[in-house]
Amino acid sequence: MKKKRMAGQAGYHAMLMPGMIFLIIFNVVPMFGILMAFEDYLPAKGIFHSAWVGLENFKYMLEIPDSMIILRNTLIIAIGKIVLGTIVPICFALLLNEIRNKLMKKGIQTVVYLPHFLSWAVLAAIVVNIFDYNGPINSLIQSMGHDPILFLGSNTWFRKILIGTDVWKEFGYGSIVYLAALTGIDPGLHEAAAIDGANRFQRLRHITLPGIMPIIMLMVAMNLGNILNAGFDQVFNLYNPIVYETGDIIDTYVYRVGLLGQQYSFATAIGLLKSIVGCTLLLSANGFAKKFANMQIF
Amino acid sequence: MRKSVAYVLVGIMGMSMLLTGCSGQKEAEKSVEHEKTEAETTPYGKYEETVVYTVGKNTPGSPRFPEGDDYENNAYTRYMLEELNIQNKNEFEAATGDAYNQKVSMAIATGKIPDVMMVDRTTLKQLVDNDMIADLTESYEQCASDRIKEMYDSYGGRALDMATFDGKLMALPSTACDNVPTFLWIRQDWIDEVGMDAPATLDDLEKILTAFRDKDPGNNGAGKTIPLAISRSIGGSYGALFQADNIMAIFGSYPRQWLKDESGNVFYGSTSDETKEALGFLADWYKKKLIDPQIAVRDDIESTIVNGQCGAFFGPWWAPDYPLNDARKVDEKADWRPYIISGKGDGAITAYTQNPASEYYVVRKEFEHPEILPKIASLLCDKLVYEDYNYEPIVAYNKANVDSGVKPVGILVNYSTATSDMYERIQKAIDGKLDPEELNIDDYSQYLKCSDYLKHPDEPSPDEWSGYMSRMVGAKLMYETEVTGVDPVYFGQTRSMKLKWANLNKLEDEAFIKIVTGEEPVDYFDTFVSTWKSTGGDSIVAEVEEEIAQQ
Repeated sequence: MKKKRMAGQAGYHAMLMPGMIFLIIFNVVPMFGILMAFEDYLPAKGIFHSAWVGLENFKYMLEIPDSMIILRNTLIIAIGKIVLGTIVPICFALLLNEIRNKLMKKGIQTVVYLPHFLSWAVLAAIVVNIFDYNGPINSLIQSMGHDPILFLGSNTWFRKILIGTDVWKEFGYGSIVYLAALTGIDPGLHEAAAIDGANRFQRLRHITLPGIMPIIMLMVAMNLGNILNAGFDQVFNLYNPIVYETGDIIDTYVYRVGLLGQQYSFATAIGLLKSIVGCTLLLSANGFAKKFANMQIF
Repeated sequence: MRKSVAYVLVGIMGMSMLLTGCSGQKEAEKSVEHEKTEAETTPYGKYEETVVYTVGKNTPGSPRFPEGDDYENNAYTRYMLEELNIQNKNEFEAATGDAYNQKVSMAIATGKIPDVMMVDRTTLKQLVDNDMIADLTESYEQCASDRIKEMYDSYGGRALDMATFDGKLMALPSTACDNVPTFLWIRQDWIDEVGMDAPATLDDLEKILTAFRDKDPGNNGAGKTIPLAISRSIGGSYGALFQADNIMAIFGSYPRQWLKDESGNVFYGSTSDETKEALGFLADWYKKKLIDPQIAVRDDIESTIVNGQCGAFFGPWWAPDYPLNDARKVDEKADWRPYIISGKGDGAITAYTQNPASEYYVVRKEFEHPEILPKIASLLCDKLVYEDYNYEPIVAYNKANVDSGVKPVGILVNYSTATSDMYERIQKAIDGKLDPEELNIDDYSQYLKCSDYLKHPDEPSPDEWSGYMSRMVGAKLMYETEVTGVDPVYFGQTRSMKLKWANLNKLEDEAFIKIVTGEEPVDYFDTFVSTWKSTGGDSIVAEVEEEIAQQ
């Protein structure tokens, strides 16, 4: 009996293989690298022969003010992106769904997908130009009689720009899954509600939203896994020393200190901090979801 | 995915180290039995079979290659192939500066470094600690020409000492011939346009920059003129472009240098009271919009100079070659001139001196021909310069202003007084006191440009202008300026620097730019100094003192 079931599932297991191999090579094997956080790592000696220093790297991490700053920045930026990055695509999908003209609907959809396919190296150049002293936004500000603002060199604006441009880049693509969910709602429900006298907004509130709620929850849950990934490539291409205070995140810090500064051990220690905080947040989010919404992510 | 990138790198590093560790041993055994050929023991002996070596190539801002040439095939590589039968293959090419340093760091992290590459002092130490580079002591003895040895010796041994670890020579340094003082390069045509006199003091300069700001002599449109361009690192890079060092030195500030005060105590220049004062002064200029308002986010200062937006910057004598040569090509009326800005206007200035070894060339440990580096140095810095100076393809390169940074290995070895010697020789040749035929290859091609310039000084070509302005005007000014040198006392890397220096550097960069741009008040400097001290600065100062005491 059991053998028969396995045989029936062999195909599925085969399909699973590439993903598992990928996971093992890129996520499980490198775990040994964590040892570096407790060593004075020298590439020549390798992970197993470098001098063991215990918690020294972690002590230094607590000593410098940067650790708290980068952790705070990472959290604020990542949470901002997750919250807005969920709300905006949903609103957009709902709005787009109300458009009856097919051609226009497809047209808009295509245009808003576009930025998703460009890398931050390219988009950063565009963003830098838009927010330049002589760029369109500052021209507008100046024409209204105000002083120009150096957006990318301002600690008040930098995070907002990071979150804003990230949402702008991804909302079109993010809305695909919601649009798909919307088509799954039984049109009969809408017709029935319309006959009962529900207006468009009421139908949205009582039929559409509940209809896509499971998908929304699933997407939020999946995004939570990224809670400490504030977006290395974006920040890296936009920041400068003035905005280290508000824009430097764990990933950019690890890159600068670890790979450019060649302090592999210290960078690993910081990276490990990120993993621990991320894991804690994810577990508590799961706990809350279970307690209050009776939904479990895993 | 992204989150795993760091781990992946870590993993790759670890694994590749294990692998290279094994293969390294085998190769070492092999080379023991090898009998050395003539090519391997003399400076100019030619290899029988072409030796291909990989290079990490730092590329210049604008190479200006003739059609069809590139970094692996140009007049220099062909010359080297012809003379020594060696050919470079570039493992990576990246612009000099951050981009190149990142490539080097990545190469070291993955354990796969090119056969020959250029590194800075900190990285050199790292490579030595990791046992990744070859001991060059024997190759240098055998394969460096006598003149190369003489050149290194003209620095009294200091140049090679910097590359020597436990008595072993681990790298060949490029020698930093005098590149200070740097001076103010300013648009003379703009000064004339606003009707002012040449500047000699900071007050003069402030008035001129104010006029640049208000009168827009370059017709860039209101508010678009950048009176003075400064790098966002503010200062402290020896003999580099766009540093504010000239201004800071007037206040007695020498940022990023290890110095001794009057009572003999070691201190770090960036944390001195004078630096606070100098930063306050720059902040005032920034507030008055005399310094580029976008200094914090400006990545490419050169382009503002080339497109005529920028009115002044500080730079060394060679600035006419780069970036001003390009500026002349765009606008041949852009009349950039050098001036000395001094505290009292008498032209007497102070400047910090530099470690005679400016950059280090290393050879990968397992590479079969470590002697290739001294051979290349001898060929490019001795034979080419003093014997083959009539070698046509390279003379043509120099005349066309092809950047000499296109050499596959950019090592530069020269006598300590090279720049002023060069000026003297070219001046003598122009005055007819020296036969131009006797000039070496660099000087000869520059002499041709200068004499062409003098034939029609009103309408020189950009290349003639660059040659004359750098060699005859810039180098002359440098030669004649009275400089009081301030000698830094330490260039190395102490124990704690390894862990803590990157972070202290970040603190320093951040504090400098924030104070100058007014993001923080000048008194924030005190906060910076106390954080700097408490997060490792104090212990590093103590270590530096200790190391100096041991010397």
